[in-house]
Amino acid sequence: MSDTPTSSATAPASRWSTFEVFSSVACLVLAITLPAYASVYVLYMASLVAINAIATVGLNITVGYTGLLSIGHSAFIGVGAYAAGLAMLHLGTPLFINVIIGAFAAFSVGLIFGIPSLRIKGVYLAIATLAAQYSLYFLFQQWTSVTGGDRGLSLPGTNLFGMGDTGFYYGVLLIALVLFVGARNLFRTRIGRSFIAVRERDYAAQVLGINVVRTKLLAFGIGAAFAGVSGALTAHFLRLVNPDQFTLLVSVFFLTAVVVGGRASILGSILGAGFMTLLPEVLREILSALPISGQANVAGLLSPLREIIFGLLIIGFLMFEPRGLKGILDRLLGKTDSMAESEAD
Amino acid sequence: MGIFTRGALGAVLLGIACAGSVSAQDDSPLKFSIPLPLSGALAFSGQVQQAGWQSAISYINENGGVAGHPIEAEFYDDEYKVDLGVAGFKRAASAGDLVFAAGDGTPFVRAISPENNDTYQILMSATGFASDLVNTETYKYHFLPGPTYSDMFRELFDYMKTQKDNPSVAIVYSTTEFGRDPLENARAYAKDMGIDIVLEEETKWSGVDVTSSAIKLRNAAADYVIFHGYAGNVWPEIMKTARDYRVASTFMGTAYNSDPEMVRSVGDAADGYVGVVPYNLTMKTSEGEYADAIRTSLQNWEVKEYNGYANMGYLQSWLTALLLREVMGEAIEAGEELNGANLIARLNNLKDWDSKGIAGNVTFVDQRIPGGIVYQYNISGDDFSMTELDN
Repeated sequence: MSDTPTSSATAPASRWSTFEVFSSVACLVLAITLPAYASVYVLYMASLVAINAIATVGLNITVGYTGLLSIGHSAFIGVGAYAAGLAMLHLGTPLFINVIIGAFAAFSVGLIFGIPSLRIKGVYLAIATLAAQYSLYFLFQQWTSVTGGDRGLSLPGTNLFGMGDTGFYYGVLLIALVLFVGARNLFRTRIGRSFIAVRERDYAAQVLGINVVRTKLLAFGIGAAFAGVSGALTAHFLRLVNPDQFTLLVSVFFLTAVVVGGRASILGSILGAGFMTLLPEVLREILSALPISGQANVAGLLSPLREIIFGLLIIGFLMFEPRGLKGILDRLLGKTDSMAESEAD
Repeated sequence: MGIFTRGALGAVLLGIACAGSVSAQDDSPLKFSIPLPLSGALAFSGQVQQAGWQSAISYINENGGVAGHPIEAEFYDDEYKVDLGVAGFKRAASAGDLVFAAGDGTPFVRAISPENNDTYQILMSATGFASDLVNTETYKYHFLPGPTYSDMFRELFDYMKTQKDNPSVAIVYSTTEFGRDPLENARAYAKDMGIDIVLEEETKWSGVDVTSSAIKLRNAAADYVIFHGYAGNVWPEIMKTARDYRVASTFMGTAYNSDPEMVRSVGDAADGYVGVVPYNLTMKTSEGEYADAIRTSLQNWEVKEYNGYANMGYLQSWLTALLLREVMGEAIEAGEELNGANLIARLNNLKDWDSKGIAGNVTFVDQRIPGGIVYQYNISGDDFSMTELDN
């Protein structure tokens, strides 16, 4: 009798491990060989997904794992982008150094804007993070001598490994892999577990000896650092940094990616970022292929229809699978509670 | 780099190298990529521009194409986002044989130009009128089929000087990149021309709280008020409220703030409004082959009822398409490749090219058409008319 439950409890874990290893290797092989058969456009979209996934993982650390609601994430991406852009222009530093500069700059700013989290929570904290969004946006726009104002910074091209777009794609892939593995392992350490403890009940965490002040600030800082890396990569990617790339809507985009992908899950963040980035493109392709004729074709119908479908899909996730894409994946694999699983990991 | 990577890169580069390799001997289509904001906040503009492109391309294809080659346009909704605009560009460029890429705004052009200059070298044109687009080194293969926002301010200032010796002006602009674009040049022009800028009022791009702006206009008591950088709201409300507060200034506007439909919708408060636009918008009186074709297309347009006036974006699409037909046709007949360098050189060589009713005789200076048309808008009840002013 006692063996049966143990077997049934461990069997899914072992199946997941096999699946995880197999799918990880398959994804890695696919990602590495992508430039061999993909067009410039596909490589571009793949790089964009990876950059957005890094930012989504960062937001998930703050929001999903630590429970600190932030809607100022795009401002931290902006800090990383401007820091990297300025370093590129004035110091001539290469991509990997600029990524570190962007991460450090955003981490520092994240710590400052994380201070309100020490006293307030939930929607009140969300409103406080709006201060980060608007004040940093204002700074990007008005500090013309440094940021270039509305026109922003035009940056030189990045020719990583002497391979142009392909080299940049590999650079982004490498950085993303390191960060994803790092983020996953973070929650096996004392710091990562203290994030989860603070999310569950900060008073109890304090009783257990966790320094809540440090933990909350660190969660904001690390989340912002990921955003900074994403921003630095965006700067190299688009060769342009301007304030309109870092609006409140962009923060909402990443918050939606966290919800759609699955809170408190690194894999969920990657899936969410991929979904949010690629679905509009996929819908565009599907709707363009429809045999609709007449003057009102694309202008009058397809674009609004795409937005409606996109919105309905997001509402559908919130209503029927609040654990997001990770929850669907877990269900397909026979798991029941992705949140508990990710936390236990 | 692996053999597969090298192979793929080789294929891509070959595709790019073959772009523009259309010759006079075949009738292969000329591929255009046209990203526009078909959804989102600027969809109102993008959808009209798309309709303009569609009707212009139909007209060209029905009338012999470009030296026998039909135009094949692919539209792409980039939502006025730089990353999506670049995605659309790369998508079209990677498919090969691209001879022209449009752009929905200057931020996109700023992002793609360095790469286009170095790698793709495809002729481009965007819908924005930003002042820095005259930098022909930075935007090597980009042309602007109209004046910049700074040019438009200069034209309004010129008009003011014909009316008054030392006019005063208030500038009301939106807190957007394009809203702030001409300010620096406008200040310099005003100083040179002896025009006193008594107020610079920055407002949100959308919203309804306009009372404070109207009060400031009343206190400034400027001879003229220029509205710049808006879409369909804010500035009409400011005008109406200002008139309620007995502001007697002459109201003026640039480009999108001089759209006949929008100005007309303001009502009597906009009577006497003076606007500068790049093209001849009075379709009912326009004469010329292209003006006739545009009038016919507007009359057949199912989406909007023809009212005798054209939308600026619609005409911009038409003029761009016709300019492309002209220079690409010349290049094909001369046996040249349709690359950015050859085509931009031919555009710059156009001297007094007859636009047949769209924008007078066209000559490019710094890859843009520097002159616009100044109109006065007359509104009284349901009556609406536009009078071209000399300046």
